[in-house]
Amino acid sequence: MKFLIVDDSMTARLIGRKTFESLGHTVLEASDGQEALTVLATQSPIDVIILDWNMPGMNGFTCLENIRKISALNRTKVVMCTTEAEKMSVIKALQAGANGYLLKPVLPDKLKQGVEKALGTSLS
Amino acid sequence: MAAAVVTKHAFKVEYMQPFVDSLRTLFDGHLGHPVQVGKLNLKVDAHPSYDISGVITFTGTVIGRAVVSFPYDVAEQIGKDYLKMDLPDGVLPDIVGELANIIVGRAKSTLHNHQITISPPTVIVGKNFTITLQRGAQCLEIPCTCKYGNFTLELSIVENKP
Repeated sequence: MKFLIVDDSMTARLIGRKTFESLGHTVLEASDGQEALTVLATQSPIDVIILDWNMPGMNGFTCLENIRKISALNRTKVVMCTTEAEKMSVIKALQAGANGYLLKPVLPDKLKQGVEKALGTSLS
Repeated sequence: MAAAVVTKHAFKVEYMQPFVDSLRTLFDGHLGHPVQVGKLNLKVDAHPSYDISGVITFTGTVIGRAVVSFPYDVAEQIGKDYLKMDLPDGVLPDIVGELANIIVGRAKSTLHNHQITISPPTVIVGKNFTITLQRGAQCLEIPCTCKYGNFTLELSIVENKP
């Protein structure tokens, strides 16, 4: 599978890369929403996007709304991975088309489980 | 000539508790060891307390900023606990930013009746910087101690009145 980790935090991207590469998957990175859309336009198909919310430039929620307007990405799963812990934020993201919602901090196990839940299948 | 009048905005304790709770949750949960929170001080110095500091500003029905400031060696040990591995080169400032982000993000969800938007973290390395406050705002310094040493959480929050 091909993953895209979208986060302005180098640490979060590192954890994502470590998690999914160790399971034999391909990992791409972007540091904000606009860069993510550029990667998606040139690197499709991406199977899973791990998306932070609070980023400089285009934030994760706006990025999610843009992703869900692209019909070619209908089957791409989006898992929000963020510090936005408010219930309304979770509802807003799920209503906008997120397939999962993880609260930071996350380590590889929690990230893997969150993605598996969104996919409905095991990654390993 | 009349002097400008600057209203001092009292810091409400109700604003502080969500940040302290969030800090404790981070340490007790993810980092795996407790944090002790000391007696609050009114911070008069505008410089960061320690060597490396994560700063988050927020705007909305309240405005202000939170700073978590660590001695370098304490940040490094906490960073290792955060990642559960030795730190790759150059990643420490990013981890300090993430710690600030997590503390404020969680606190935001329990700041009842306030709609706020938080900024991405800014990280300051060194002490030779001035962190400015909202005009008339006070800054509370919350001294904290974990098994690696002391650090501070600094909060300045005021209601955003037109």
